[in-house]
Order: sequence, then structure tokens, then C-alpha cells
Amino acid sequence: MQTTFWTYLQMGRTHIADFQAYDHMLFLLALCAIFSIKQWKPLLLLVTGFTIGHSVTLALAGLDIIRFSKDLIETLIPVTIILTAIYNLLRGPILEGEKLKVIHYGIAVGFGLIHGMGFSNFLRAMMMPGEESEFIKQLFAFNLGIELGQIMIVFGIMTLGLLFLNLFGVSRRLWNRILSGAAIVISLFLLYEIHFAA
Amino acid sequence: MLPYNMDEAHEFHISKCIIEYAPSEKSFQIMMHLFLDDFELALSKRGGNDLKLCTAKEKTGADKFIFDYLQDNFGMIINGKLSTYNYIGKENSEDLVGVWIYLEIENVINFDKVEIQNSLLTELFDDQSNLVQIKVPGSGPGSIIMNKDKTKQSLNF
Repeated sequence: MQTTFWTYLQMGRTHIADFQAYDHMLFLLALCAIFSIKQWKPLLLLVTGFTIGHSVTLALAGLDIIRFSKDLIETLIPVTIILTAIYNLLRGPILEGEKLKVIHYGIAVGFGLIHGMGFSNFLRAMMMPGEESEFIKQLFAFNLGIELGQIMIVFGIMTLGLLFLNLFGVSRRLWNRILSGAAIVISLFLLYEIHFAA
Repeated sequence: MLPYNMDEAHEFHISKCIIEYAPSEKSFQIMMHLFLDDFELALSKRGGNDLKLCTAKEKTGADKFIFDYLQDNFGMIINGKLSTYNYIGKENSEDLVGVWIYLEIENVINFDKVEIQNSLLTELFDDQSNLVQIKVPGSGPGSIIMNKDKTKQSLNF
């Protein structure tokens, strides 16, 4: 029989890479849009910031220290995607300068906090009642699964970018516009669905 | 990367079930959690309309609909024999969006093979995941993810 640890790891990995709940993937897409594979260092820093953020809220809600309203989270997540994409479109290529790096990093952490709230609603649905040590094990395994899924997705997006930029001769600027534009349009649809579609 | 299912962009369908063997009682004690909106939809498709589960207005006979549904969608075969379980009761989950259902299988003296059958809500949702955790003293807790494609699982003890 499969161990509980492995089960929750698997659930975390499939949850972030789930096409039925693609909003987290869309955010990663927006986050990656301005980077090329050569700039993996600042990208890694950003993804790590995002991870720190969502681990914090996931743990807080997973351990039932705080709870978040589903409606609020579902509204905030597309907003984080839209803001990231708008930023991409305004700034274009990757920024230089220490100050901007700090802002960039802070935003990644902040947006991570919001996405963690989304993960936590899912986690709470699958956490088994029981002893605290069991809880922590499930939480840790689930979070680790999310990280693995996230690495896979970022790697996939960057590989796709490599193909389009190098093989098909798409310019960096156009690639950024395609990804960021798509992210904005889809997020607007999400917001519309949440608030106006019955 | 295009969203093909906007309506369910943020929905997830999950049930969880804990099956614990209590040697002192010689029984399997089962508790399962289902989301109320999904579960009520499933029961309404079987004629149990507007049951208002876990509210003051709950229809009489609602428990019968629940039990019949469970009989068709959840079972345990212990040592090759389909076990009958008692319906102990149910209660609203703490956050009010789900229901906990309690079942019990009595007089289980010893067992070495258990098959779990769980197809809860898979008739409604292709992405339904049914998590099952099994606790038997002497073997560490184990978990199974069951779904539309996997509604049966054999376990050896």
C-alpha cells in the first residue's frame, strides 16, 4: 500500500499541473514571459520567492491557524496574473539594477502568499483529521509535490520559449507580448466567470 | 494552455474516507467526508430532490437516500466476503460545506485481505478523487487515491 506521504506529494504535484485549475500555471507563465533560459538565475530567484510566499499561507491555512474566503482568493489570483503580465508589457526585457530586483522579489513573495491561499483550500479538502504529526506530514508532502509540479511547469514553459525564440525566430519582445497578452485575456475571463456568470 | 472548461476553472471534486480497525471493538470504523453540494446533486439524480441535508429543514427519509447511495458506491470485501455496514449517522462538517458520514462493520475477528470499493460521485465528475486512508494497528497508515478509473483496490495485511 502507498504511504500517506507519497499520496499527498502526488496530489500536490497533480494539483498545480491540473488543466482544470490552470490559474496557477497561468501565473507561472506570466512570471516566465520576460525571461530567456540564459537568465535562469533571476528567474530561479523569483520562483523561489513565489514558493516562499505560498508555503507560508499554505502552512497557516493547512494547520487551520487562519482561513481565507474562497471568493476573495478566486478574485485575487487572476489579479496577480494580470498585474504581472501588465508589468511585463510595460517593462519589456529583464530589468537591471538592485532596487528593481528587490521590488521584483517582494512582489513574487506577495503574490505567492495569495496563491498559497488557493492551494490551502484544496489541501483542507483532502487533509485527514488526526494527530498533529500526521497533519504536518500531509502538509509537507503536499507542498513538496507543488514544488515539483512547479519546477516541471517552469521547465516546460522555458523549453517552449527556447523553441519559439531559436527555431522559429520569434523575437523576445513578441514572445513576451504573446504570453503576457494571453495571460491577461484568460485572467479577465476568469474574473468575469467568478463575478458575472451565473 | 487555453482554458477549455471555464465553468470549472477553480472547482475540485474530492472526498475523503478514513477506515480504521479497532481491535478492542473488533470492528472497522469508517468516516467519510463529502462536499454537500456535490452529494446532494448525486442524490437528486436518484430521486432525492431538495433534501437540504444537515439543516433544520432536512427531509425525512434523507438518511435512506444516503444509505442506498453508499450501498451502491462504497463497499468493503473482507476475506472475500462483501461486508454489511451499519449506518451510524452523519454530521455537518465544521466549515458547513461538507458532511461527515459514519459507518461501522462489526464482528471482524481477523482478516488478511480487504478489497475497498469506492466509486463515490464518479458518475457525476470525471475529475472526482476519492482519498482513502487505512489505519490498521501493526501496519503503518496507508493511503489510496481512487477515481473513475480506479474504483477497486485490494489490500493485504
